[in-house]
Formats: sequence, C-alpha cells, structure tokens
Amino acid sequence: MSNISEVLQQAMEIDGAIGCALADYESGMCLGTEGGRAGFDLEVAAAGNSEVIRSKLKVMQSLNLDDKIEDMLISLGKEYHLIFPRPGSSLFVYMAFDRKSANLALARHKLRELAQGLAV
Amino acid sequence: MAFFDPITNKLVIQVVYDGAPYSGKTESVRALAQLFGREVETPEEVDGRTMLFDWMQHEGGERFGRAIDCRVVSVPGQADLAERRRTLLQAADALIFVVDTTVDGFERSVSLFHEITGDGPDRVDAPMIVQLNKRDRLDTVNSRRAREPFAQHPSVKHIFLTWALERRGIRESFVLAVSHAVRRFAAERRTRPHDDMHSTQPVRLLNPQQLTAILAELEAFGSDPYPVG
Repeated sequence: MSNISEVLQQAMEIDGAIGCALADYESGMCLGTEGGRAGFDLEVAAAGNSEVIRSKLKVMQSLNLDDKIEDMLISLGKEYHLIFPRPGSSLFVYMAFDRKSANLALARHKLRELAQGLAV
Repeated sequence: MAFFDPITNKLVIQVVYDGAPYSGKTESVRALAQLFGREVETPEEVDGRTMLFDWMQHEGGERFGRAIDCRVVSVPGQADLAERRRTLLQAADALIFVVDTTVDGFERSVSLFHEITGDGPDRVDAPMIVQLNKRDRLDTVNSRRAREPFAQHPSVKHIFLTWALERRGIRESFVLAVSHAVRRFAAERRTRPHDDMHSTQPVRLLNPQQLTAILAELEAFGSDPYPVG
C-alpha cells in the first residue's frame, strides 16, 4: 500500500498528466494534490467534481441500480478529466490530462492500479 | 450539529481535538494550520500548555452549494480544567482523538477514551477519528497494540498513524473528520428537511473572543453548561 503523496507523485508520471488530487466527495475537500497549472486550482476542481459524483450516485439510487461507479471520464476539447472513486469510502482520485499527449487507456489502467494501492 | 451561518451562508463544521495531556493536540492543530497556511490563536498559554483552547479556522470544500467553514479547537488537557474541556467537547460535530502512543502515555490515553465513550458526563456522540500520535518516537507501543482499544468502537470511523511534529497524517485525519460530520449533517437534514438545523446546537463556535467569554462566564456562574446561540 502506498501513502497519499507517493500515489499522487506516481500519477503525475503518467503521460499527459496536468494535475491530480485525492479528495473526499462528502465534503469536497482534498487530502492531497500534485501538479496543476496557472488558473487550474485543484482544490476548486475537486470540490466541483465531488458534486458530479454525488449527483451520479443520486441518479443511480433513483434508478435502483445496485452497482458502483468504477470511473468517470469527462472529455473536454483539450483535456481528459478522470475520476476514480475508491471502493468502500467517500474518497476519489481526480486527474486531468492533456488530450494531445495522453494515452487514455493506459492512463485509466495506471490510475486504477494506483487508486487501489492507496493506504487511507 | 453543524449549521448554516445565516450571515455568511456557509456550512459551519466544528472539529474538536481531544486527548490526554501531552498527547499532541496543540501540535496537531498547529501542523494543520501550517498545511493550510492558516494562523492558530491560543488565548491563554502557560509554560507552553493550553489553558483555554487553540483556535483555527479554515474554509475548504463545499456541500449543499455552500462553502464549508471549518472551526477547529483543541481542548486543554489538564485535569483541573475538565469543565472547560467538557464545554468544548459539546461543540464537536466531529472529534479527533489524539493518542499518545509512547509507552508512558498510552494507558492514560486509553482511559480518557473510555471516559468520552462511556455513559459519564464527558460522553461525546460525534463521529471520531483517532490519531495514533508520536509514531516517530522510539519508545512507543507497537501499531497493533496501539489500535486495539479503538478499532472496534462504533464511533471511531478511522484510525491514522500520525507524526504531528512532521505534519504526517494530520491532513487526512482532519478531512475525514469533516467528511463524517458532513455525512451526519446530511442524514439529519434528510429526516428534518424543514428544520433550520439550529436548535440542537449546544455550543456554537463563533470566534475565539466569544468562546473565551463563554468559558469565563461558565466559571463565574458555576458548572452548569447552558445553551448558547
């Protein structure tokens, strides 16, 4: 199992990585962040994406879906944003990639591995 | 219970740090403040010991479309300041219990934990995060033994190994404390959707000056805690 800053640092080694955060969707607060760029506040992004997760969970509940969110992908014009909820907790890994340099399949695979290895 | 501040329109979550003397409560709050770039206010300190409380305020995250305003206090650990401590414990939406895991201090921490989880006057019903502190020291009980007294208690939501002086494990403990407080508030809100959610707050932390006044009044007029706010 890895600690938070190690996992986030490893995540930033994935091709195309812009920034990543480990956050809690109940409160929208971050446990840790790495990377980012000017004008891209990861704390704000994590809080906003917490709302996305809560909304999706609410929809699933309304539809009586007995399932879990494995990951969420939001494709912007220039970026991919990936969200990986951590099973059995309210924590999730949020990560932004540059579309030009990222390999989406590899990034998802690597991030899933890292999220599962988190020791929290 | 957490509440919506009618003036700022923020969700206020009150986090209280408790623990035996010298367990590292003040160090934990100071470490947290450093991590968030905030200031800690300690209204009264004698020989490095907290006499009233340590105070820190941090805004982060959001819920119900509102920013979360975290008001954080640590209690004084001295036995003769038990009344002050008891009053501050009543404010907790979430409690972070700091355990001294050194061989000399561990049993004292366990006893105090039994007091706040028993049926006595110090009982705390808020969700708890346990910080097994001082893990950087050589004279500590092993991790397994350190977890044992806390692991099965239903109020304990998470246990973290911490090194407050090096700021390790501090942020995680705090964020998950806030998380559980928010979760509890959300559940309460579902059952009482039209309530203003203010009525059950026994002690509301507005600012360090107000809190100092509450504690001073409490001591001037006796030990009977009274509703505030």
